[in-house]
Amino acid sequence: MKSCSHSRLVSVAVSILTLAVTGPAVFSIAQQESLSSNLTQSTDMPQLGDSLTGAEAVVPPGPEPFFPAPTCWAGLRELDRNQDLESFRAALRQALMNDDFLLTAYLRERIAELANTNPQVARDVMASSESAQGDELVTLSAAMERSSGFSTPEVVEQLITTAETHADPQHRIAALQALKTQPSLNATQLDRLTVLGKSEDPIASQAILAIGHVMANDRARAEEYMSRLLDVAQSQKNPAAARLALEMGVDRGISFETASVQRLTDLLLHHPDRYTRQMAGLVLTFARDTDAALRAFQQAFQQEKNFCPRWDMVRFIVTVAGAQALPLLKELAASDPRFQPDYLEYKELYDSGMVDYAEVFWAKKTQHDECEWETIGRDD
Amino acid sequence: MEPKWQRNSISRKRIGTVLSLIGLVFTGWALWSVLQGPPPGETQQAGGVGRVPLQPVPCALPALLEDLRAGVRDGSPVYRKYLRETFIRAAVAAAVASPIQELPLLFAQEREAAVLEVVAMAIVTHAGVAEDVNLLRPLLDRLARETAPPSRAALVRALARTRGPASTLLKQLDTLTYEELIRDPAPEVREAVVANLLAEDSVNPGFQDIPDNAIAVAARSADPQVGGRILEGISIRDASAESVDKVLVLLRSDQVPLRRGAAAALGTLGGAHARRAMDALATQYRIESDKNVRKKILEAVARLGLGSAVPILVSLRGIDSTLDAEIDIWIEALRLNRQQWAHLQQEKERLAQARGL
Repeated sequence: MKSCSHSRLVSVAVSILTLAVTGPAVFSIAQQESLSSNLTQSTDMPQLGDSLTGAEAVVPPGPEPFFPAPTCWAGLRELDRNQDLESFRAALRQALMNDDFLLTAYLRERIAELANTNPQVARDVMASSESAQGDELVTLSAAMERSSGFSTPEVVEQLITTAETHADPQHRIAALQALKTQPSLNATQLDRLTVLGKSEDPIASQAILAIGHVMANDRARAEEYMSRLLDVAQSQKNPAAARLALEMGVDRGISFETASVQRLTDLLLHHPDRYTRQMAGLVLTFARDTDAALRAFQQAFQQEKNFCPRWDMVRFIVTVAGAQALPLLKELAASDPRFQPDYLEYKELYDSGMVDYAEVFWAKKTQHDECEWETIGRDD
Repeated sequence: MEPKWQRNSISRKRIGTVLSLIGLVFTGWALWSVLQGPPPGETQQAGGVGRVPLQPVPCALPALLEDLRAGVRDGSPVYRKYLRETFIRAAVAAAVASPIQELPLLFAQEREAAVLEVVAMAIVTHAGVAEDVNLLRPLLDRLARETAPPSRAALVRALARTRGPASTLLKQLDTLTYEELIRDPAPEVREAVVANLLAEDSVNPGFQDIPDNAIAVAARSADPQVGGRILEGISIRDASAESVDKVLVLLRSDQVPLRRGAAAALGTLGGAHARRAMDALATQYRIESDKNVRKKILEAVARLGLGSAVPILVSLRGIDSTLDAEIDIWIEALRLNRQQWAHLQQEKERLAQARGL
């Protein structure tokens, strides 16, 4: 049986299952990450392999079709053959001055490719990034991020030290960004990054992102990382940074154990900031012990009085318990009739045979967008 | 008959106008910065050796192709990608701006498969940008005539990036279809079709024909391995009822890879089909002779039912004692009560690893 026709944008969203768990909260998360990383661009760089396709190309309105021509360069073949970092840096400066993103992407990936097999290149990149600035520094840092040549203990040590001590904030940020692809961080390194995570932005957010990304690479030790992130969340004066620290636990393929679950529950029930409570709840949907999470959401529902925080809890309850949550939802709807329509919608979807929450989420008609707008309107 | 995607293009134009306003700003800025060129004097480094390794030059399509030809011989993979992207953009820009069409000429005279593929990609991109399927004709005519397998495979690969799924377009344009190409004597051509089909949903998301087309092609494949790989790589959640029926029939095929692929595909169905699919899968498990197909069936049942799959899995214990441990892991993972397949899968893998399985 064919489902109803999707608009193309909705179908793209459907294929991003991560959104299914987070619902409207995702919007606030996206906002936060962009606020925290607005000083850097490496994560926004277009990928060289992304072919411009007929499916994605844009044609401006008007009588004559117009399509932007790229910049073409002589001398690139020779550059590709030699492995001289200084030539690459000079070419990079040319690329950046011309806003040539294709060439920038090529240079970034070529440097990473060379560093993979040649430790000297990795050392040279580290040394030369000292004198680099602005977009050049961002590009070199992005090359470091992409290359396995930068995963040695010496490099990690150098990057963390740079992050802690460099006089120029751009260099501190670049060093933290390059850490994101490390396969793991030991306890001492985590402690040092935690100190940075508790400091001020923009350093704090970058340190948080580094811990969070490496946690996803090192899942067997996730509790150690999450415990540092919770330390940061509990001490951070800046609520956006606190929420970012928590958000690192969302959709990482990690299920959290008792110690983290207890602390998350504590934040869910007692943190003074409503959006930090919301984020703690979202992370709790990834608890290994779903019964513990369910009890926490139930309690939070009772404590919250406003519609939107209560709607968060309803959604989280269904996220962790699915059809088994229906009797509980019925009770909650009886106690708070504002949720009667949601209860009925969920019941209808589960009765129709759906089992996967991802399917239920997208099929549910009422999404309470007004709660999402509430998120956008707030001041941090 | 106009292709379906052109009929859909009205709704996409609404999105297109919003995006095109952004596109206008981008093109204006890009044009301005290209015209500016490197500022005089700044190509000299302050306090270092003044070095200008590169010189900006006008884009000449034949020269870019020669660079690519040399790059194929001895350039880095990243460099070849760069040349490919630059050529495509330069070719489309020229094709859009000028009545003189260089691209079809370059295409006609190209013999080397690796370079032909890039020129073909430019043609496909141009057809998409201009929203004119007839611009694909040179490619399709060549595909019909071309005898060298590497070149034929290259042409098929270029079709991965059509605006609107090629699996439908080829049928509408009265040319060689994927159903025919999947039976091509050259294995690289068949490979190219498989790769294209598996990527269609991500390149052109939301087109309803995609799973139906893939199932039809899989059913037409003369090589069951190929058909099975297609089925294993797609989601049939949006497939028509007739196509789902085809997959249920393939579950009973006398070919192991097709049964395996069908089992995997059935696991991707939504709630409305779940019961029927689970029953068919359980029935097949009881009579199935191949262990890998049985494993796929267990996975599909778990995926379709999540928590409600437990009784079925319990009932399948003992039929094949070598798989009872696998059943037990699924049951244990399901008892963790994960509400999404992605999470269940993670838990199951974790448990399997812990057991050394």
